[in-house]
Amino acid sequence: MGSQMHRRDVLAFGLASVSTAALRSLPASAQATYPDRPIRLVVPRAAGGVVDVVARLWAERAKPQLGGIVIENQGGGGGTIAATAVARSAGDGYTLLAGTTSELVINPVIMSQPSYDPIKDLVPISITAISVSSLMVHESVPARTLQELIAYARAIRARSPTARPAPARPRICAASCSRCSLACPISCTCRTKAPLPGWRISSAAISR
Amino acid sequence: MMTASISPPVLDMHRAGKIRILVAGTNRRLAGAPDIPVSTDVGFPDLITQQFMGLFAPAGTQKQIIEQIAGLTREIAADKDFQNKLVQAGFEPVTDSGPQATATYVHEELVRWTPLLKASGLRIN
Repeated sequence: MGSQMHRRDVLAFGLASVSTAALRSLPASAQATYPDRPIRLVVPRAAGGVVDVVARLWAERAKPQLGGIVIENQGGGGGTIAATAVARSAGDGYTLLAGTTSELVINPVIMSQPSYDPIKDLVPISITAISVSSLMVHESVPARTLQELIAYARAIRARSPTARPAPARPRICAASCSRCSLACPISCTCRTKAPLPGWRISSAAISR
Repeated sequence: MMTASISPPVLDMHRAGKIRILVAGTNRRLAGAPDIPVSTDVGFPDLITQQFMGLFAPAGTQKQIIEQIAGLTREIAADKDFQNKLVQAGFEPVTDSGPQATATYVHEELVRWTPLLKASGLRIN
């Protein structure tokens, strides 16, 4: 009995010293008080999409430690509405943004009048997931590798000038159809009208 | 040819032979499909077409709070069930992130995309 009590005292003392040391390293304002009310996690998309799903997966697992997390879906404007709202919120730890490449990289560059600065107005915490785009062909296309596709595209161009995109205004596709280059001999069907030249791959490899 | 994000339905079509994924625009093997060639495999290491999802706070948020949430997020990211759910949703898990890594990554993406976006003339109002 006596030895048990002794062991408990030692354990209690050990825990007390650990937590005192841990607390001492924190500034007074953050000590044990954060969070003391629900955190608002702003998702820059409508509910149900993949960004929303990832945000909710994270929130579900963060709740045991952070307490209440209220998901606020603010779609629209390609995410700029949500990002602007968070950028203008108080930096008190009670507003977070489930930000993506759209809000942090693309929109601030292409907005005619940027309503926030992704570097100055937002503080990075963590990347939680990455979505990877891929280049794919229909089964009927006789190309098993990217090199074979490039060779095939060149061969088509050589045989059939009609397969060329207009030289000055190539069919270029953004997002879902990705980024062809000006020299790309493959015409894409655009879902968006936005021309987006780039993809060094095509300019480097195909234009030769 | 077309591009689309790697996700279980797309992988199913690839495995069934309906489509052929020639390259995934990343330099890391995919957690859910390690057999798919990535940009370094096909000789185009600059072919990086990935989108991230992360957590950000308004400027002025205390460093201690940022670190607290980042530490918690690392714990969550290490959970296998969380990773599997991300893969099912078409995402690649990221297990080694934090404030500095995120800042670096966003910076790299801005360097990668800004010239292309400017050259494209793409604008939103």
